[in-house]
Order: sequence, then C-alpha cells, then structure tokens
Amino acid sequence: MKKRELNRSANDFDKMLTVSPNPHIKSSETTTSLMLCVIIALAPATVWGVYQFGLRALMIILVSIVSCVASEALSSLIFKLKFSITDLSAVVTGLLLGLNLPVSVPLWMPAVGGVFAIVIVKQLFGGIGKNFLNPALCARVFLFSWAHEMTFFTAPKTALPLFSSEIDAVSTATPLASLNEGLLPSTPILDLFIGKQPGCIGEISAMLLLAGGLFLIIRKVISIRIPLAFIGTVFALTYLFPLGDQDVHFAVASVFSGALFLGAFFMATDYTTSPCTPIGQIIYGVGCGALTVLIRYFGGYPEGVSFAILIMNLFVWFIDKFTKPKPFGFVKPEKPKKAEGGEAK
Amino acid sequence: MSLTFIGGIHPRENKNAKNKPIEMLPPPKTIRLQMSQHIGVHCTPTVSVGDHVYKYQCIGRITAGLGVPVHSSVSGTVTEITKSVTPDNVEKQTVVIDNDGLNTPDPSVCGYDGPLSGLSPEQIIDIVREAGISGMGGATFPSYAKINSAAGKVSRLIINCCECEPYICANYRLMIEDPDAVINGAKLLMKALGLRRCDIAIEDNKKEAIKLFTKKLAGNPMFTVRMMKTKYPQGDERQLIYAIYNIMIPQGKLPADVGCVIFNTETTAAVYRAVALGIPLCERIVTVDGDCVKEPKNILCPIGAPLSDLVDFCGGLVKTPKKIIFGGPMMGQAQWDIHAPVSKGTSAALLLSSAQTTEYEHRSACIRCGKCVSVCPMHLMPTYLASFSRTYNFDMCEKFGVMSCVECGSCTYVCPGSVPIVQLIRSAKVRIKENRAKKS
Amino acid sequence: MSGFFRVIKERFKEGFITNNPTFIQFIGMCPTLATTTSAKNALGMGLAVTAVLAFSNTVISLLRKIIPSQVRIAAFIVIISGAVTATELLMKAFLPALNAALGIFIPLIVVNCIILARAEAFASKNKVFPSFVDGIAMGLGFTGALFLIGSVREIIGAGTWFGMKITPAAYSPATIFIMAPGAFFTLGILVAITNKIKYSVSERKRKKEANAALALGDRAEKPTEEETV
Repeated sequence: MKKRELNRSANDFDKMLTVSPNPHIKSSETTTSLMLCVIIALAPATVWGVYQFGLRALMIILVSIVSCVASEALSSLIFKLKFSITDLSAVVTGLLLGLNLPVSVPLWMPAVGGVFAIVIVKQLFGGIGKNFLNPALCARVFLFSWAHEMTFFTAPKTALPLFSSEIDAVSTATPLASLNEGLLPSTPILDLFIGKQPGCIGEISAMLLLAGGLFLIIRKVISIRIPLAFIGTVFALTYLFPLGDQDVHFAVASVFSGALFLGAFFMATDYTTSPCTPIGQIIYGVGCGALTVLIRYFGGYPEGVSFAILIMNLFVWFIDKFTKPKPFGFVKPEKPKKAEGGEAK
Repeated sequence: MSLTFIGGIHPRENKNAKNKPIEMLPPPKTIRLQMSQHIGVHCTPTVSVGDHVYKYQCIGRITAGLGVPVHSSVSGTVTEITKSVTPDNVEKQTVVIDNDGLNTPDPSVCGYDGPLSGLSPEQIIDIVREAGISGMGGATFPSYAKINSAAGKVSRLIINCCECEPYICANYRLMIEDPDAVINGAKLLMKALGLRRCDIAIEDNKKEAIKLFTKKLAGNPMFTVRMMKTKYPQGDERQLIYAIYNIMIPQGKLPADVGCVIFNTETTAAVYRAVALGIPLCERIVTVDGDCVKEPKNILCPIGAPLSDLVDFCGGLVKTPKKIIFGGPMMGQAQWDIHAPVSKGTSAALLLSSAQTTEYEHRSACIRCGKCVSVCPMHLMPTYLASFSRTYNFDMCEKFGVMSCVECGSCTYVCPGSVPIVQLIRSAKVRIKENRAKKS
Repeated sequence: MSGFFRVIKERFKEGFITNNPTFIQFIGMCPTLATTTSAKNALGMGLAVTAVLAFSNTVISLLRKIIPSQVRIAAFIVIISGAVTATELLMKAFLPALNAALGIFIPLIVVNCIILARAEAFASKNKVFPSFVDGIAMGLGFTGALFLIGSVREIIGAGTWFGMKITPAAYSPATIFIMAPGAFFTLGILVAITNKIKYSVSERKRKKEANAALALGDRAEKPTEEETV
C-alpha cells in the first residue's frame, strides 16, 4: 500500500487503520475448525477400535499421527512451503491411516505410510488442497506391498504385544471373505453393525462411524450426498446382484462389512479429492459404490473401497468440469458466423 | 412464506442500532462536499472561495453527460476548494464550507403546491435531477437517468427495503418512522415511470416494518408487500428480481431489460421530499456502529459532515479501530481517515476493532471444500476462478464465467482457507477488460 | 589430434550431464520404467541400447548424404531394426537369461525414442566420428541413468543388488518398488533431485556472470521480474 499524505494532522491511530478491499468480515470457520470436527467425529470409532483390539491399536494410531505431523513439518521446512501443521490436516491423515490398518502390523509400517502419505502424495504436489489422490488411502495401498502384514487380521480381544512385531496370534477371516464366496458371514448382522468382527482398527463399527458421519453432516462439514450415493449404490447392487442366491441379508451384511462406512463418510468426502458441485458429488458417490462392488466381486482383493475411491479421485476434475453449474442468467455465446469466403472470426 | 434465491450466506446480523430512533446530528463545524458523489461526470463547483452559501443552494453542476448537481447541506462560507483522494484512488474536487450555524435555507427553494397527482412524468424527472438525487443504497447511480432509461420498458417498480448487510438499520428506521415518505415517493416514481404496480421488498427480520406497511397498504391494489428471507445478498438487484419473480436477468443485461426497476428506500423518500417540499438531497440517515463506538446510533446528518462528528455524537471511541468502513462490512469501502466526509451513498459508518474484522493471509490455501460454490448467488465456481486467476490463466477464468461475478463477497466470507477470492476475481476481471480493450 | 579429444569430451559431457536422455531430455521413458526392476537388467538394457545406438549413428552418418530427406525416417528405421535384430539374436545366443528378463523390450529398442532422436538430431547432420562418439556417449548416459534407477529400485524393493542381499535381515523390502508404481516414484524423485541440481548450478553461474559484469562496470542484465498479484 502506498502511503498517502492525509489532509490534516491525523490522530496516531489513523496510521494503524487497515485499508483493504471488501469483504471485511469472515465466518469463523477455518480449516483447523473443520479438521477438529472430523477428529471429533472419528473419536467414537477410534475408542471402540482400541477397546476391541487393545492398546497396540492406540500405539499404531499414535505412531501414524506423529509420523504424519513430523513429515509435514520437516517437508515444509525443506521444500520451503507454508508451515501448516496447525491446520490439523496432517493429524486427520494420520488418524485415518492408522484406522485403516490391521492391529497386527509392525509399528514401522504406519510410520513409513505416514511419510509416504504426507511427503509424496501431498507435499510434492503443492501442499494442502493440491493433492489429487487421498493421502491416507494412497498410503494404505502403498503399504499393500507388504501384503502379508496388511491382510493378517486377528480376532478382537486377542492379547497383542505393545511394541514388538512378533505376533503370536492366529489369522482369522473377516466377514468379507465369506461374503465374497456368496455366504453370509458367521457374525450376526447386529454384531456387524455394532462392530464385533475382525478387521482394520477403525472400520469395524458401522454404528459409531455412522454417528460420526451424522455429526459431520449436521455440523455442515460434509454433505450427505456422497455417503448416501456411495452406500446406497453398494446396497442396491448387492441387493440386485447378490453372490450365491442370497436375499436382502446379503446386501445388509455387505454394507456393514469392510471399510464401507469409514470410506463413505470420511475418505470419499475428503474435500480436496471430491467434486465441489452437487450433481458431481452424486456421480462420484455412485461411481465409488459401483467400483467397490465390482472389485469385491471380480477383483483379486477382498476389499474394494480403497481402490474404488482412488480411481474415482482421478476423475474429479472431469466430473467438476462436466457438472459445472450454469451461471446465473446464462446466455449461450454466439458461434462466430463464417462470412462469405470462408473467413471464420 | 419468505421469498428467496439459491445460495447466499447468513452473517451475524449485529443490527445493534435496530431499536434506536433516528437522531439529528448537532450541526458540524465544517462540511466537505465532494464534487462526485454519483456515477458519472464529476461536477464543477459553481461557487468560489469566500462566497456565502445558503442551505440547499446548488454549489456544483455538470456541464454535459451523466450526473447530478451537488447542493450545500448547511449555510455558511466557502473556505477552500481543494482536491482529495478517496481510498479507491479517485481524485475528487472538494468544496469546504464553514457552518455559520444559522441554517438559512435558499430562498428559491419551495415545494410543489398542488396535489402530487397533478405533476407530469417529465416534471417529476426534472425535479429529481435538479435535486441531485442518486441511488442512496450505495450504488449512487443518478436516479433521473434510471427513470429515463426504464420509462416505457418496465412494468414493475420494486422498492428495495432489504438492507441485507449486517449492522445497517438506516432503511429500517426510515420505514418505521416515516413510512408515508416512502409510500408517497413510490407513488411519484410510479407516476414518472407510468406504472401501476409496485412491490415493496422487506426482509423477514424487519417484522415491525412488514406489519406497518401491510397495514398501511391493505386494500391498495397498487402495492404488494413482499417478505424476503433474510440472507445476504438479498438486496442485490439480480437476486431480488429472481426471488420475487423467478426471472433471471441474462448475463450483461440490466433489470430494465426484464421489465423491472429497483429503487432504494431512502432514495424513494428523497424523491418525495424533493417534489413535495422542494428540498434537494442534502441529508441522509447513517447508521454508526461497531464495537469501537460507545453507543451505536442511527443519525440523520447533513451530507459532507465529517465522520469524527458522528463518532463524537455516538459517545466517542472506546477502542482503537482497526478498520473504518463506509457502507456495510461485506461491500463497504475501508477508509483511511476518521475525518472522511459522509457522502450521498454512505448508508453506514462502521468502526471495527480487530476482534470484529479480518485480514486476509498472504499465503492462503484453498482446500477445495466447495463451500464457495454452494453460496455463490451467481452460480459460479469461485474456487476455480481464484486458482485460475492466481496462475494468470484468464482464458479459463472467462470460460468459467468470471465476468458475471457481482463481487458480493459471499465466497470469501465462507472460505475456511482464508483465500482472498473476491480480490483475485477482481484482478482477473480487470486484466480481461484490459485485454479486450487492447484487442479492439 | 586435440580436435579428436575435444569431440570426445564434448559428446560425453552432453550425453552424461547436459543432455542426459533420461533426466534432461525425458526420452526413452518406456524401457526406463519397465526394465529397471533390477540393476543387472537395467545395465543389460542400457548396454544393448548403447550398442545399437553406436551402430545406427555411425551407419546413418555414413549414409547421410545419400538418404533423401523425404524418406529419411523410414530409412533410419530400417537401419535401426537391422541393428536391433542382430543384437537380439546375439543376446538369445549368448545371454539367454538377460534376454528372458528383458523380454519384449529388446525388439522395442527399434522404436526407442533415443535412437531415432539422435539419428535425426545429430547423426544425419554430422560426420562419422562425432556421430559414433555421440552414440556411445548418449548410450552410456542412458545406461548410467538406468543403472541408477535400477539399483535404487532393487535395493529398496528387494533388498538385493545384483542378486546379493545387502540390506539387514530386519528390513522387509517394499515390493511396490519392483512394480510399476515404484518405477514412477523413483524416476520422479530422481528427476526432482537432478532438476534441483541443474537449477542451482545455473543460478550460481548466472549470479557469477552478473557479478562479473558489475565488476567490469557494465549494466548487468536484471532477471525479468514476474508480475505479482
């Protein structure tokens, strides 16, 4: 701002006046407050995961969060980006990554995953708001290169060591394994909803995740479109095309098993990697749901949610471009007329 | 049922002066009258230093083009004719008048004697022009020109009593305390435009005004009181017409092109006063508010009065202001001088401390949450416009409709990442206009 | 004689540093990503390309005045495919394991961008000896890049180097680095590092020149300032 000579001797405070363009007020919502809402929404599912799987689950989540925050701080310094750990987005990424891992993984895995998620998926593309893939999901898929550890699920309430990687437990089948063979899982559906089956730390309790998701919807942090479209599509497809002659119970079990609720409410709704138009969000949710069912039925992995969301993330710009809202009072621009002699404007 | 539009925001209303009756400002010692308080050609002063001027005397006229004359709001002596620069970088000639405290009215000023229905449209338009009336809601478009361009084209008059910005209560108090001025002014405007239908649009947070006007206009087939949902920017002309009539003004067109013309409440009352009492536009109601003044008030003050006088009348400063704004907090203009004079378009003066106002960070981060897309009243995608503007990609800006943006600030208000969206859009629009001018 | 060494020095500097096919020119990406699953495969691929490149550059340079410009690409391809077929047959006979590991990518050397690019940009316009040296230099530059990427991928992704286990037993190799995504990660990070080095070297050079010009009293060329919003 160039300094201007005031017309008369001004009081001292005149020199401290800010002269900047409108608007002069702002809503109190910041990135930090939004991320805090997400953390609060994930808290019930996290607590339940720790309760079911023991303190090792808490260690994994803590290692993941610390790794994410530390890598964001260090990479901001090294790449000279804005120092941004106070916006809590690294904490949310760490929490989501931790919740997406089985409790029996060695503790260096969330650490490596955290570094990958923040440095490669987020910071190297420009920091917050510039990544085109969900960081926590990308890290989870990256960690699948240690496929044995990532698919080793222990039953809930087995005693596990806090730090050591020597797991002396038996691997159990998750409900998805039964569903992919066309059978109803051995856990009753109510227990699936409450969260008593084996699985990743945060994905088991559909009930608590739903509660968290509803909290976010009521607080207007996310809109209901993506979760509804996502879960609705999975339910519709598994109801219309169940594996192995099943009825509606198959569809209900499919919806409550696996990482569907965690993915639909917390991962697919990640701001940066989801469309910002209303119709676009519905298309995105339906696409995620369809791909999830496709991968569950025909793909090599039992769980399709992570890959479905990552694939749809790649289409977000196109979805946004094609569901662009019509501007107010839109007037179609006239096509330039070709004059005699074939001269186009 | 309240009428509304898609989008918009609900900032905290903070209408602290809502229940304070309008008070008259004690006469200021000096007034500074800018020669350009309207859109159009600047006036040239018709008085010189040392001249005695009467109250209501014309002291500035335009020679040709679009514009309205400026009148003195006090009687006194011209002490200076100087140049001053406003914060939006416009140099304006200013006539400084020392108030002699006598308030001697100009002897040539007189009201119209006969019944108002006896006036012809041309006579009304003449009076409106000579009285120096321009839009008092903040846009300051010369009212006679608006009437001229709308006459014959429009079928509906809308009186805009929405006052959607926080803090401002000037129109509301006017409607409660002097509703007849507004209604008669509307009738005069209808006569000038040759219309028979008028809508009075009032937001639903002004329940007393709605009740009063509904009672006064009950059974009158010419007037309809429309209750609008309280939302910003309901007072924007495009959103108002869309909310009431469900008609979208096409891009690049004006309300007259869809058959509507909109006037602000105070402008309408000023039209009435000009015709009935012969008084030119010399005073207006200003809401002074903000946490830095002791007592927020609605003040009827002469145009040209320095803001410091109004602040003193409100009990003085209790905190150091961080921003002084003329107008509302969403579209008003920040000032750099507490002695800045009130002009025809100043509906409010806000003195906000750092607790009530914000500064935008230099390196902000868009997190693509899409909140701006959901609040944009023009159905644009501000997040993309801002990021294209930041990377100087003005072609994509145009493709995404940046020229339709009305710069209401809703997007910037909701942005959690503190991105200065409106400022980026504005710079894109300026560059695009420059490029277009270069091409042609 | 000094011209002889000057040509060699110039070509090798171009091939390895200033115009490296992988890190600077970004050509021949397909074999770079596909065959660098281990250091040995990478080395083999690089040397095969070097052999073909040297041969084709020489022959094309010999024939450069004869080949009409309208059919030059077709002519180049004929020469290159001749060389590649010979290389493939030799590898099938004497290096069957490497041949099996590299698979389809040996015949694909025909359409390797590097060979065609060097033929078009250099061999068809320069004498035989510089073209031959250029072929060797570019080929070795390519081999060096491939070897670097292959080593990184093998060490991180399998814990071995040339088949010998070099990481501690506790290290669980990240198999994703042997797969396709790992190729992109490794290449991306290495290109970022080389770009940073290139940029800081050129910045230092520019600053030195600017200071030198100032010292001589001339007006130093100011860098163009970008407009700020």
